[in-house]
Amino acid sequence: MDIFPALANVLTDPVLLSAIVLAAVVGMLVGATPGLTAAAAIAMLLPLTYYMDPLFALAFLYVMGKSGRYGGSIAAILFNTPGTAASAATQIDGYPLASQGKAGKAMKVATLSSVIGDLMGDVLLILAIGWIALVALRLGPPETFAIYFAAFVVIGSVIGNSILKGMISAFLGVLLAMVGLDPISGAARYTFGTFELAGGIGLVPLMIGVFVLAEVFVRLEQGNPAARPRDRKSDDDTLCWREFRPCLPHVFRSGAIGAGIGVLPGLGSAIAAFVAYGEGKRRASNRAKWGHGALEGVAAPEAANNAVSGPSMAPLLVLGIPGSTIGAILMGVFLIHGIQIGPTLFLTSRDLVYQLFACGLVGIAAYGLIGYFGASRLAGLIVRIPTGILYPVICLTAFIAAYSARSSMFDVQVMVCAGLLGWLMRRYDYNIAAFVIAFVLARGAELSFRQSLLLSDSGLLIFAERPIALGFMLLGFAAIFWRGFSLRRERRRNA
Amino acid sequence: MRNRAEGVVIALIGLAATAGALAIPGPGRGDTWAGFLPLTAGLFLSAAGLRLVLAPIIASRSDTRAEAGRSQMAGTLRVLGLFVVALCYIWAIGAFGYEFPTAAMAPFALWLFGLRSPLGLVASAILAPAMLHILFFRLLGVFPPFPTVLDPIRALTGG
Repeated sequence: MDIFPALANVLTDPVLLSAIVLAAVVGMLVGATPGLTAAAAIAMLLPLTYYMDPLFALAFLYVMGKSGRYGGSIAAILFNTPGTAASAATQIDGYPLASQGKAGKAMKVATLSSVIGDLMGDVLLILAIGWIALVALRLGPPETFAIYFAAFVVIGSVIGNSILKGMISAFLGVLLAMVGLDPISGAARYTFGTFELAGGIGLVPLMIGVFVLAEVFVRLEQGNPAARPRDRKSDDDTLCWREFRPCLPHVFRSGAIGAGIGVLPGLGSAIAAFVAYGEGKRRASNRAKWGHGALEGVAAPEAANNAVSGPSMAPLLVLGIPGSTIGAILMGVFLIHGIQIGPTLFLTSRDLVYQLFACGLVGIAAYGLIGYFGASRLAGLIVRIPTGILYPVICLTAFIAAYSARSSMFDVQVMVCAGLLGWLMRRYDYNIAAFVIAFVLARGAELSFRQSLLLSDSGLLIFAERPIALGFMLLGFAAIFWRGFSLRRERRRNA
Repeated sequence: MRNRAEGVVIALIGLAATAGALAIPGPGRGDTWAGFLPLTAGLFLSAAGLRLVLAPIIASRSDTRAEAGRSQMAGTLRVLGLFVVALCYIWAIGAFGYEFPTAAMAPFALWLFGLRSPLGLVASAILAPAMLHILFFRLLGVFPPFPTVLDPIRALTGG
């Protein structure tokens, strides 16, 4: 199997190993800091990857994403503030445990569960991706467009509380992606005669704006004081096998849930974490304790949350469809380095892909060891950073990071406008993930759509004539109807 | 009321996008029209905006948060203020280079987030541009923006 030589390459490269360890630490710090997310940090570091070797850049950001997902549990347990959306599920039992003086115990359970879940997801990815790639090579433009369509619909309708707002967010992303010259005919679209807009809206400044600057705007609007952790002098930091053994069935079940959800584009780790928590509570023998400090209540969401990471790379690498916001940003890295993702990736860059997987496995070990033995000290470090200094530093760095992508002041203007847009979207409950993923997918979807029409004598009916394409189109419609039905049922229950 | 305002904005964006799409030239012989997806997006947004305007308020968990946010006019004004200052900062970088505008922006950003120490504000005016200059323009080799009005560093050093 290709993974073993790739692992050997990675383990014998001290520079790459150092980058992986650094990424693990940075990701944990970012994930553990309330208000920062791994996606925002990756978006901000994206321009720096111009100057790096492709594997180094991808490995750094990929491992940062993994450890950032885990790092969110630290803030959730210690500060009662989820560091990431997914760690809101960890917070339910994590903070009560910390209040009982068991913060160290809870963080160790979170670490072990994250490592096991992440490993499960990565093993699934490594074993299954070759088969998925073989199938993907047989897909033509109609099938590819149908998959894009299903992805748009799923992303727009499943995430968030409103299908309509999710779809609006997705179509806003599509509209923004259309700005510039049409790549096929060269026709100008929404350029208003300006040179800068003819080149289109850059992905990097857009992402820095909606993720990083929007967060700065949100914090400025809220004016939140810095979160202060409870006194930890009396904490029980030890974890024995007798305490962790009951968590194992939850970990394995939740890992499977997370891996399954991770493969589907757009669902993400937050959904996986809550589904796993709900399922774990339903099956638990100590159900009454859940919500009041059950170690299993920390293990389940953490395993699911991290199990998403590996499988979410499958639709990205094989189909060019990012399965998560972090995947969308990683897509930018591939584009920056001229690596064509999609079914041919395994023909042109097979070694790179397996080395990236190997880096992911090593990264899991890195954040696992650092987290298990060092999470407490890391938390102490984070507490000392005043938010009144953190956010201005982030703000200033965002400006120069957006500029450095293409040495363009126009990109900085885009970043600032995207920041305002991101703030408005968050304020009015629109879906930023759907917006960004749609922006990334739109050009590919348009290309495959127009290629399909050129191939066809029957126009739009080509999508009905090809069974796989028809299947994915119907899947998209089914997702909307199912989601609408679920939301209506939930509202009736709450009314 | 809030949904209606959102609906009007979305509908206007959709109508503008639709008009822009219809202005895209038609396809050449054997080609497909470049305006198809923009038109689809524009029409959807127009319809979605109309739906928001006409339908009852869509229940959402964050409604209470948004309602509370709306009442925090001071927070909104701070955000809009930072947005305007950010645009001025961008103009200033283009006009005078990176360092001096950043030396002005850094203490302002810190003050906005609650830092009131005069020493801290002055230190940030020196440290922020210096550290970012070293990291991005020296270590990473990013080409600094060329000032179009006046280069203060060159004027001061006579270079």
